[in-house]
Amino acid sequence: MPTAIHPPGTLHITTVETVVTLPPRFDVHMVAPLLDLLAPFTDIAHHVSLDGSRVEHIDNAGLGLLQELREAFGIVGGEVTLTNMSLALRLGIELSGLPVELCDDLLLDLGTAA
Amino acid sequence: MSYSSYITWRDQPVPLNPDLTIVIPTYNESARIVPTIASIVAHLAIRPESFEIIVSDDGSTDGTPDLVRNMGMRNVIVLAPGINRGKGAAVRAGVAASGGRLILFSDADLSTPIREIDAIIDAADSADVVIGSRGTVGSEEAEKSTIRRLTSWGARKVTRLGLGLDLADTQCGFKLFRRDAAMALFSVQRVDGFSFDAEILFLARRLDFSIHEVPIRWIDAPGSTVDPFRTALNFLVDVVRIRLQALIGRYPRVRPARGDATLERGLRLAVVTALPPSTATLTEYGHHLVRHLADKPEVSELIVLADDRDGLPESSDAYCVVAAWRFDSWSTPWRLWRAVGRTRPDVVLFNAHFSSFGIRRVPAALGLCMPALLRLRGVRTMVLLHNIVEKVDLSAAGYGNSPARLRALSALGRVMTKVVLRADWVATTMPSFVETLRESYGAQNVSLTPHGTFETPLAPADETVDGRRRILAFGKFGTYKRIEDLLDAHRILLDRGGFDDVEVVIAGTDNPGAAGYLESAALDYADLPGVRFTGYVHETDIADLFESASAVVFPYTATTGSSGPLHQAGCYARAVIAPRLGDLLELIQHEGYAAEPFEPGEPDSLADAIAAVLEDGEHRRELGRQNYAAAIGLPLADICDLHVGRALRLAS
Repeated sequence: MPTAIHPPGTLHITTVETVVTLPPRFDVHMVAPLLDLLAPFTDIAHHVSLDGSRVEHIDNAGLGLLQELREAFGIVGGEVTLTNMSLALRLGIELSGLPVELCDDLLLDLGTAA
Repeated sequence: MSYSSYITWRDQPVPLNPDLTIVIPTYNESARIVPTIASIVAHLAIRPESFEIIVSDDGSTDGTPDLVRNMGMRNVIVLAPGINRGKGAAVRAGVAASGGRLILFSDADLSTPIREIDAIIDAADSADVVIGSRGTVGSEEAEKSTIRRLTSWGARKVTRLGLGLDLADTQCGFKLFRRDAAMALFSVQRVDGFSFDAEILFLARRLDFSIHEVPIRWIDAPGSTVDPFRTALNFLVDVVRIRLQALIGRYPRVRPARGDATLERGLRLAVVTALPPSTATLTEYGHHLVRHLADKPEVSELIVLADDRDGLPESSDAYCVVAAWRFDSWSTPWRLWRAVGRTRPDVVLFNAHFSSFGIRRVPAALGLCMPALLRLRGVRTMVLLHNIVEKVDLSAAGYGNSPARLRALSALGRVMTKVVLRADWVATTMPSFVETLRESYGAQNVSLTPHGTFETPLAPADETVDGRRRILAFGKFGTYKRIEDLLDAHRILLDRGGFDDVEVVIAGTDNPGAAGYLESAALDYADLPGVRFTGYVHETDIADLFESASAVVFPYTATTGSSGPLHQAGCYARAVIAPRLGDLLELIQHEGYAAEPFEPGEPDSLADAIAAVLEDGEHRRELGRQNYAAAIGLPLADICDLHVGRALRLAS
């Protein structure tokens, strides 16, 4: 397990539990940095928690990435969860038309949404 | 704000004049518009202002308008004329439809994050126009391509040299206007394309509106549908054109007159309609429309410009009736013109369809010209249009069978539709009507305003009071509402046996274009037992009429728009037996009604449908319950809020 990673941009891992804080603008510009950041964890079963509390805008690229990560982590027995979802993130997911099963999974942590 | 507050905003209408309107012009934004709206809603939800969002589409071909409509948000208005005119035209349409005291337009890609609105709104305390700026101290730009940097730099130079604008950034798609400034500027603005920003700011300077620039953070959002080279070239041409327009006096030098006083003193509204006892059409609807409009606190004075052919209805405490036109008379335009001149309303609302003013073509057409003519006079006009020619089977509706005649009538109808669309605003009662007017006529001033239900009695009885089985047909008969199939079906049921107790009630009068029809039909079926003709039904007897019926049947050969009797059947929780006809089925499905169907023109099919409803009490009651649920969901009282809101916007 990594102990400290300093990713590019506003993304950063805050604990060894691999909590990744999503940026305020989670759009196409953030896809590559986030993929780079999480690439090491897709080789083994790993749990990554995405903290969505700061998200003010998520576009379709960001939403697509969430889905992609879920599949990539699932293949190796890991998982991705969303925590502390901001209202913008929650509405972005709800209104996006993402596959329901993904929304259901991602919405497991909605109890903490604003 | 919590998620539950968002749900409230999503489902409940905001005030008619909210604090803020966000106008989002769109062109093929299906990939971005939903996340954009989500972000805007989430951010504004934490601010204190009430707000609405207007998505003003510029002829997208990727389904952007439908995508937004399908979000099911009550306070998101979609304007989709179906033609591509340019961003300027889209923003102008959005501003015209807005109700906010502050109006912001924002690009659909949210290149300027919505959080920047906080500083923009704060600045509106001291400026008429507040613009997001990428050129002032404190602003930030991220991910901006070299091409965009070059075009932005060029635009700044051109606007400074060509239009004398000393602003650091005229093209940022994030601008806020106080309402009076927005209305004044967009009412005289002419550029349809991307250069409209520069024109608006040029006009703001010319009309002495204050402009304040607020530094913003800007992020280039990929996926722009703009061709930078073509846009730059067009921009140059437009700047020259703006300058020329100014030179030849096409722009005013003083601010247009403001009508915001209307909001303070209340609305002086005139309604052109027939009312009972007139035997013209739409009288019942007119009666209830006027009654509910009179209850609205925003309406300080209600004037009914009424048909006086069959006597003048009485005025009441709530409204004043003026004899202003006569059904089927050539004098209607002149009389209406004078009546409007005398009464001086802020807005005139026409309750109309294509034969509202007469059966003869010339009087009918003259009456329909009045919204456009009054508008030329400077009077704001709205039309509540109950049908459109494209949706009427003219032959089945009794306009003859000659193909040449039908073609001529259809062409005349299309011409009259174009004339009607010259009103300031046109509301229609069916979604497909709106679609047709937008797609076939390119109309931007059209919206859906459902028919609505007149009354919503609490807990109406499931069954008739006296227990007798009764089938009701209600309306004005003789054209597309014909009773032969119904009476034939009744005879079929009597022959089958087991239906001897059933009474068929034909309630209503002849259509103005089919005088003597009911009398003739009564003679033809004089031998048929269990049939009762009521003649004209007074308003006070409507409730008893419907409550005494087991089911309401619609013996139509065609339809001409939304159906009053269908909504009345719903009010009284009555089962409905309806023909499989396009508009009626659309209406039933769209508004959530339920009906036992039959094939139009087939008495056997109608007999089967009546039998199915009368013999299965649970089925009958279930249909009634569903119709009641649909009816109470769309009361005319609420629909009138839409009319009043629109009228207030026009007046101000």
